[in-house]
Amino acid sequence: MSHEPTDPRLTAYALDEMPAEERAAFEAGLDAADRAEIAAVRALAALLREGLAEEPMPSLGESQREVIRRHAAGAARRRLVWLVWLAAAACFAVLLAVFRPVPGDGPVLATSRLAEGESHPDDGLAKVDDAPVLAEAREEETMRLERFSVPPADSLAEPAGRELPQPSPAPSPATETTGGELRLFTARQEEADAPPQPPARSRPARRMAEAVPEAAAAPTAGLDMGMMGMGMAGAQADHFGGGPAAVPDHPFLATRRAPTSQFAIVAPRLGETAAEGLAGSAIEEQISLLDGGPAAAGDRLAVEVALAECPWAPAHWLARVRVRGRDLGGATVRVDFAADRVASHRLLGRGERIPAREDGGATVLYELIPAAAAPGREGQGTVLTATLRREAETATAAADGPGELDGDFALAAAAAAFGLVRDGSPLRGEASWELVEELIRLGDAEPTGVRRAFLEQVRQARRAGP
Amino acid sequence: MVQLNDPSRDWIREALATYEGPLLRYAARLSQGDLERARDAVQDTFIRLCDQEREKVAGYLAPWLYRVCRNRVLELRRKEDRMGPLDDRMLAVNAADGPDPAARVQQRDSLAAAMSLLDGLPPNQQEVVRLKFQSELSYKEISSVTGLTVSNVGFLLHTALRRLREGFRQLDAQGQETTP
Repeated sequence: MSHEPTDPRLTAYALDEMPAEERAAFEAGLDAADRAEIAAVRALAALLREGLAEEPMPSLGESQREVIRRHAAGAARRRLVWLVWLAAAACFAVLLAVFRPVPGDGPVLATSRLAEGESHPDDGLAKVDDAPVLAEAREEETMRLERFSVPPADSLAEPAGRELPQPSPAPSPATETTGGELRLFTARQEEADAPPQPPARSRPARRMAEAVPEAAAAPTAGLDMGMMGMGMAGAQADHFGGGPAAVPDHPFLATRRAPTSQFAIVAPRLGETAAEGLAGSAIEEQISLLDGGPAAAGDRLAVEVALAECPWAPAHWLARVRVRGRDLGGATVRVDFAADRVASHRLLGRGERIPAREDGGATVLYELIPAAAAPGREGQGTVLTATLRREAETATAAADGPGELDGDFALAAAAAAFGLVRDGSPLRGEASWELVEELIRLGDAEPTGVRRAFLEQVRQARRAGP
Repeated sequence: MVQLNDPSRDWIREALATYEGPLLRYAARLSQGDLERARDAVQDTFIRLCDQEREKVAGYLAPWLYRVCRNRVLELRRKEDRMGPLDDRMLAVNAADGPDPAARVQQRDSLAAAMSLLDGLPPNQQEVVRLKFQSELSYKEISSVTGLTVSNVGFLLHTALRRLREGFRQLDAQGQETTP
């Protein structure tokens, strides 16, 4: 034998792992004993491949796959937003070059805005003396709109054989501000199984019913308006002028088929205050930014769950899940719903990555449709359990039944209602601008601080909105 | 159900379909059978993949996934303060320290015997054997996943195979002794 059995090159050669430049020379030096050794290695390798291939192949849970899919969709959206920002910055630079203010003439953009009558003299923003400020504000607004504007419809087209994208609620300027996401939902049977919503039809739903006779003829109870809208992408896009599909709200999911919901906590946006975070942000971000729960105490994780009647759907419940802990980025929250207490649930908003606040907290809201209670078991048992997990550390909390909608809870609910109204969500129920203001004032009749800033945002959105 | 409607993200869906099971099987081994921990690690791995640009992992996807997954499992285990023998420090374990494979094997069936003998190898050798023959990674890719040099990978694999063959020889000898 020309090579020692302990020579690793024999194995490397047998497994075709030897570099080409070395292989020929090594091969030339092989004798019969070496070749027998090599054959034995190959036989054993084949045996191992066969045996290892038979080992069971575990799989992820469906909820985990869902988290991954959503993250992938979110990543695409973030990439798109980044590109749009670049484009907006380029446009801004061009605008600056073209409309550079001439001394004594005043900014062109400000003059243009006043001429269009876009603001009321009483709003304190449209005074001629404020023109330079207005110009800057207008530019910022333009950039913000561009940042969140949706790409052309054809760029969102689904390849053949894939599930159709869901249509947006009625297009509106406010919808555009959050319409850049690429996540789409499909009306699944399990969602159609969900119990009815209140019968009130939102404006987009009515518009769709008028525009699409089949939609008007279809059952209108419960989630039908939302689900119908989601299931008729092409038709709605055509009837509504062919605009691009915006991302719909999370749909209700039947608990018996989807008993678990998960979301991820991401690092806070540095330096962003609650009021700053309101403008143009997604519902789930507004909720988390506005809820002023207790600050994190040390490294320890904490989670709390509260339940109350849903302000915009009195037959529903609103669940608040609050988490706290230092460095929450990367933490995940799993919420388990009891099928005997909750018929359907939905995470309010459109995303599933919740930014932590700088104080180390984060908040989400779920809207729940209670299950019909079994005789003699009204109001018994756990409704939902939330588990916060960061690495190996966990914290758990549960709620057994609805309580009072206190001030902080009401403010988070106001943030959710604000988004529902602003975006014309088909799932907004009885949410209205008046309800939003009422919820803001619930904890503070004379709003100050963040409540006051929020109230101002609401009024601005109300003036600009549909 | 969320759909990846952006065709540019199809590669992630394909990666999930291709590597979910193999990665989970690998992670479960590293996690000493803790399947839930393995699932968390694999989920985290794919979430990290979502943030990658395709071009940066193209042609390198499998070792990238295995490496991130491995690091994640080890990180989770360190956090739990119950680091087992797959700690990187154990990569220096002498093969001779492992249990006697022959003592662990009673059956003669070659496939079952191979698997039983494999279970008797030191964890670092088991890992490279699985990465090579189950995940079909090259020496270079295994090197990238484990942080070992390519030479070390070759040495570990060579040693592992020699020990397995030695185990078979001992089984054969035992069989002959008990055969009337």
